[in-house]
Amino acid sequence: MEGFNLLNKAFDSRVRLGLMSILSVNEWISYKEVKNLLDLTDGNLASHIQALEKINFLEIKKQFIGKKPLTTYRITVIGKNAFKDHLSGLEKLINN
Amino acid sequence: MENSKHKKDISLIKTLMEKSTKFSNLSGYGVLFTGFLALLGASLVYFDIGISISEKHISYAELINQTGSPDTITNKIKLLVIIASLILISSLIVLYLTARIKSGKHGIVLFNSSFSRTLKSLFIPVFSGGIFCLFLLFHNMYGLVAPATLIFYGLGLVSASKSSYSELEFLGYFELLLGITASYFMGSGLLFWMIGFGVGHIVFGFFIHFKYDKK
Repeated sequence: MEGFNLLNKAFDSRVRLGLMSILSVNEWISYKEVKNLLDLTDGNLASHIQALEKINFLEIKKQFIGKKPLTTYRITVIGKNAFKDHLSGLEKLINN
Repeated sequence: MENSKHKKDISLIKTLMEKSTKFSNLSGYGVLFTGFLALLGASLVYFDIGISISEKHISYAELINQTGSPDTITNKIKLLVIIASLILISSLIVLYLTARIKSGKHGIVLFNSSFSRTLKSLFIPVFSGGIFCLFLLFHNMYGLVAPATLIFYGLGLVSASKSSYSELEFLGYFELLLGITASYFMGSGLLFWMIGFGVGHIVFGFFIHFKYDKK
């Protein structure tokens, strides 16, 4: 069926799919915000973030605001393209 | 089977995109309440300044045209500024508290990036407008203060609508239109102000409540 070839295995997991949806429409976004939006526990989210970083779909920035550490994420160009393809794949599949 | 999973995926994507970019913690009841506060404050101004029973009382129109004695005018302006500041502060407190309650209910973080973006786009016009209005008072140009607050607030709403409820844009145009009209009918500024800040917020508050909050 047309559309399947566009789907990306990396987005099989709903957490990763959700994470990429958030990143695709935001600039740098904090860990806490992502966690609250996805309603997840720490361990669960961290492993998915690492997986996506490994394939260069997102980049991580660690900094300090005063004494508090702040981790933020941003989607990469590779990630953005992969997500776009996946989305159009999904759309084609449900329109068939 | 597969098809319904894809549909679910797409709806998840949509929800998260929307949830993460729009400030949606603005509470309908909060907005509604600020409308009543505005009406209450404006009536105070109207009844104190408006009814000319004794010599001390001057009407809003007289104040604008500066036909009263200079002392009375200065006192009335002071009162006007105090009442206006009280309305502003209490409205912000109400909006903050109701937004906090709503954010807890809907599980959306209050201080997220869309919140700061909305605040920034609203307050750049509103803050500069506020300073402009203080200078209008300073230069004794009272008549344009009420229209100016409407205009700058309208501009703020139009720009805030991009990071919050898109309907804020219409409220913004409404305030702009009122402000511009009020600039022509200068003596009736208070009336336009009551329509814009009072009635406008009450109607809009109801709208937000029934469209978004009542789910």
